[in-house]
Amino acid sequence: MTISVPKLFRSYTFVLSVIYASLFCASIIVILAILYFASFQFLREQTDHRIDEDLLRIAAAAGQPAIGIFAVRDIRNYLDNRRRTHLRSDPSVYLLVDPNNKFVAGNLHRWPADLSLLDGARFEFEARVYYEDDTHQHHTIRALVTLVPNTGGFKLLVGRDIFEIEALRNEFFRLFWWSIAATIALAMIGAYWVSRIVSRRLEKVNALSRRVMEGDLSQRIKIDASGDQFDDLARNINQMLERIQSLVDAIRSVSDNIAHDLRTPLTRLRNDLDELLRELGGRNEENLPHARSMAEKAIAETDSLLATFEALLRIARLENRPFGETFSEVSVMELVEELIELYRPIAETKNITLKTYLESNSVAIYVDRDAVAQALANLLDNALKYTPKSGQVHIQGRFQQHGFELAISDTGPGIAPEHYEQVLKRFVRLDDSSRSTPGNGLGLSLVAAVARMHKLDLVLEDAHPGLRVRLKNFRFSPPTGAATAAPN
Amino acid sequence: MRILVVEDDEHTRRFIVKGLKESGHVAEQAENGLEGLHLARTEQFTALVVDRMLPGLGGLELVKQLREENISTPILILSALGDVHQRIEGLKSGSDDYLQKPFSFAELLARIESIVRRVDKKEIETRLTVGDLSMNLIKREVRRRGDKIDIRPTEFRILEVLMRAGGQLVTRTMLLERVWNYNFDPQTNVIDTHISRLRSKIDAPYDVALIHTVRGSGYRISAPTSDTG
Repeated sequence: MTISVPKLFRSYTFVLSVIYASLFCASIIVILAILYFASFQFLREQTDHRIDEDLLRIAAAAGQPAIGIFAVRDIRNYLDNRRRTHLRSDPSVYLLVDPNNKFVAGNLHRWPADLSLLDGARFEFEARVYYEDDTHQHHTIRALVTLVPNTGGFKLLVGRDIFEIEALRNEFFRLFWWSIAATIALAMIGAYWVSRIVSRRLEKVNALSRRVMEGDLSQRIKIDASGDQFDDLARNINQMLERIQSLVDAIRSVSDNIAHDLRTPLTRLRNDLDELLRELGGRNEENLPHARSMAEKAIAETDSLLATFEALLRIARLENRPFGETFSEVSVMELVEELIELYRPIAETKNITLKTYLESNSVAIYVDRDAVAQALANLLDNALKYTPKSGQVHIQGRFQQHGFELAISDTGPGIAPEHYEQVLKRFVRLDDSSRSTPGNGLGLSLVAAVARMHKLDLVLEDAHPGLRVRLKNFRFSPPTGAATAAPN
Repeated sequence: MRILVVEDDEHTRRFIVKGLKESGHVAEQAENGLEGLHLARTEQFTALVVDRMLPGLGGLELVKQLREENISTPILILSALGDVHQRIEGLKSGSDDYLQKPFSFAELLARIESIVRRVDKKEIETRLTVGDLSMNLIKREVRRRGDKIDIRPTEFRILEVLMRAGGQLVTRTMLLERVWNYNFDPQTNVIDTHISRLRSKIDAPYDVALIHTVRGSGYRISAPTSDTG
């Protein structure tokens, strides 16, 4: 899984990383600028302070009160003395000039020509500093100019060599450019690295999506347990794929079952018709009763096919019906009694006790009467079918926290809990051999569809012995905002 | 009977017309709603069989139109839409019965006969009789050869529906509709069990059976002398 470089530079994460790196560089520049201005301001103030101290020292040498020519002489003597003992390591610079800017004393030979002559002004300039042995060095100097009072224009320049500060400044700028370069380089590497990691993880999702699009639903994204958003995404995608796969499997199994359930009667139908055609072709009077029975059988097979289609269509219709649209007020007692009346003869032929326990005889629920009656009929039908002779089938109605509950339990063999979910699916009959027994495996899926349509909870549980099917949360009032059908 | 069949599907129309003719009735046909409306207005029919979805004028509109013009010929609606709510809608339009496609011809004929009979007998009956079996609708009492027979309310209603059919076929779905008001077929054929219990009370103790099974379709009740097949 390699990612081409041009593609990487287009990637969203790379762009984000670059933006982030730029902001990072900008903040580094701001920090360095503040540092620069603060430090150099401090160094300049330090220099000025030293210059001021030196000026005071020179002024003290001039004596008190330093008047006119005496002051000039005193200063010259002081400066000459100082020059004689001046060490190379001493950064101080001094120069006394007469009103014509001619050298009087000091370690600078020439009054800096470009200097305007303001009293108290501070300047920086380039000059040569002379020593006792007449050697000199070129330096950057910061200086203060002072008019010597009462001397008719003698000027004193006191300064300090600031070559160290200048060297520091140069060093600072050198470091500054290097830091910026390093920051940019690191940020670019970081951006590349981050976007590569993100792209790689996204690429996993993309690669999986491509395989899913190609029809391979078995692939899953590996979850690396980092617990981050990518893991969440991977987990969600995996769950989505599980769901899709189970739906696809369900469709596949439904189509297999449909094929099986429809092929058998269709084959028999075809055989019957084939036989009928041959009987009629014979034009033999004796064959007529047989031909009639063949036709009857053919019609019976067709009816069973139609019944299967009808059941499928009914489930589809129930599932598409808007919630509450066909609801009306139905008395639970009447609903149950009618069903009991319908099934009592079957129960009696098997000597099954069919009993009803209703917590209230006057409770009314809002339902699609026909749909709920059919769901309950299917449940009763199943209960009676699977309960052995002399068993019991109970219908129970009771109040629950969120509505009314109707439950049907039997004393039959029950269903293993691991099959509860399965039996609610279309065409599923647990025992494959039971495909030859009446019923189309749609009974419980219709119940499930009715439950969904009414937003009921459908719960299958062990009745010890037998199966109990509970339909929970029947409403006592019409759903708000939904138009209900008139009672029929 | 003279029946008008309004149906656009040629196959279904031919199937109905052929069946009606074979059972000794006169059948007229119309291919669309407007033609059907015209025929129903201008000619006399015992009953109308109208498809719900017709080109031009829909089946339900046709029925409404006829009822507004006070033409009260019994009408049976045929429809591929068999949902209970569509059925109620169909009956509300003024038709007398509603049959979902696909259907067997026996069922269609039984229903046509049933709606025609209902219209014929306008007066309220208090007593129904088939051979030596009699039903008192006021006292809710059933007697055969003068013996009072003890039957459950559900059995009484089933017997009433059968007896009102006057010897004609009553299908299982007709019984479910009329006795239970159910518009679905239960998985198992519960109606057969009810009939066998009814038989054990009405027929078993006597030498002559009145309740007859019509194979693949349903039941009818008739005395041997009036049995026309």
